[in-house]
Amino acid sequence: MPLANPSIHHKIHQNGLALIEVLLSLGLSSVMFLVLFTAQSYSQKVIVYSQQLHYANRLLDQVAHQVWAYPKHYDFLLSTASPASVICLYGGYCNPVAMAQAWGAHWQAEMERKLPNGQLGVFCDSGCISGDTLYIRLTWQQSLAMTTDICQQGVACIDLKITL
Amino acid sequence: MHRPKNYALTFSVKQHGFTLLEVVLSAGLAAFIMMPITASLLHFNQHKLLVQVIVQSQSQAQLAVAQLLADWRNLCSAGVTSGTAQTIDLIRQYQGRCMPYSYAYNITSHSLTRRKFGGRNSGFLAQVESVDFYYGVDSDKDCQIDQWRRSYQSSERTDLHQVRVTLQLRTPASRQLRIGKTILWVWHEEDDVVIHPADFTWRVLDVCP
Repeated sequence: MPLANPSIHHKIHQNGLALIEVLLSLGLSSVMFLVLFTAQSYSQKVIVYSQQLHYANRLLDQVAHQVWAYPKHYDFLLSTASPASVICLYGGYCNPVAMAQAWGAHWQAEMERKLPNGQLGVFCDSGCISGDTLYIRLTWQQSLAMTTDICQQGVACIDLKITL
Repeated sequence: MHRPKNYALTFSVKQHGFTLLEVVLSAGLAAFIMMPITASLLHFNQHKLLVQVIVQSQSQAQLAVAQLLADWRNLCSAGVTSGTAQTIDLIRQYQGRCMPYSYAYNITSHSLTRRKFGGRNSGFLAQVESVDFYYGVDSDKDCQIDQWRRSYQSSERTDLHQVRVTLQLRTPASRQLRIGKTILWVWHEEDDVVIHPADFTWRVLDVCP
């Protein structure tokens, strides 16, 4: 059987990706990854905040217990203790004032060590007399913290109210 | 089969492969795309492991504290009878009767064990790295703690007000997490655990209401 047209002409069109398409897809991917990273970084911050809250709650519980142990010496929890007062917490005999001071210094040091700009506050509405309300407040720097009645934006606070 | 005499088979075969430049460029592009994908996958994985460990450690700490406080709630008779830095003996209610119990740290099983008088040790709290007791006693009867002791023996002269429990727990964590030391835990590489504190203070009795 004779071939009608023996010469075969192949014209090959290579339909690859244009540079603009590659650049656009790269740009799109970059935006997508940026969004993912941002979301994840935020999530990481939330986890850190949650961890801080958990720690602060536990600390608050312990502070409350110590406050109960020295019912007439709340004020001394925030007064300056001498470095030697730490012995009060580890075997030494101390009077209630020294003991309250030692605890106050201990909690304050714990707050500073474990929470950024951590502060312990113990105060009463008026005079810390019977029937008054005692507030134990922990505050620390936290960018995710919202403004509340007692704390401004960027400062996390939790507090405990005890009726004396 | 008949073939024309002057038939010339003129195929011009062109091999359309890749040039070295194309290969290098596409490999570079693939690497460029794969790098953030791999990094984000690793980051996602790390994030997931971190969340798991945080949630586990928080719930473990809460449960451990709640378990101990619940067990020590119903004291009777003399209450806490004695204690050392790693053991505590007390009398608590069991089926309507006062029964002496001993709690001790077992270093080999990493657990806090409990033993009823006349009975055998049984695991009470698992995954414990260390436990430390301090006993807050009032020795001048002014209703205020004046000493935190490492050991305690009940007597007429002293009242035990509080027990400070310094507890360190172990939470299993994946080897991939290599988070190291943070403010709230320490990574223990040999056992693949993170060690985290669960300290609490136990008010023994309302000795001075």
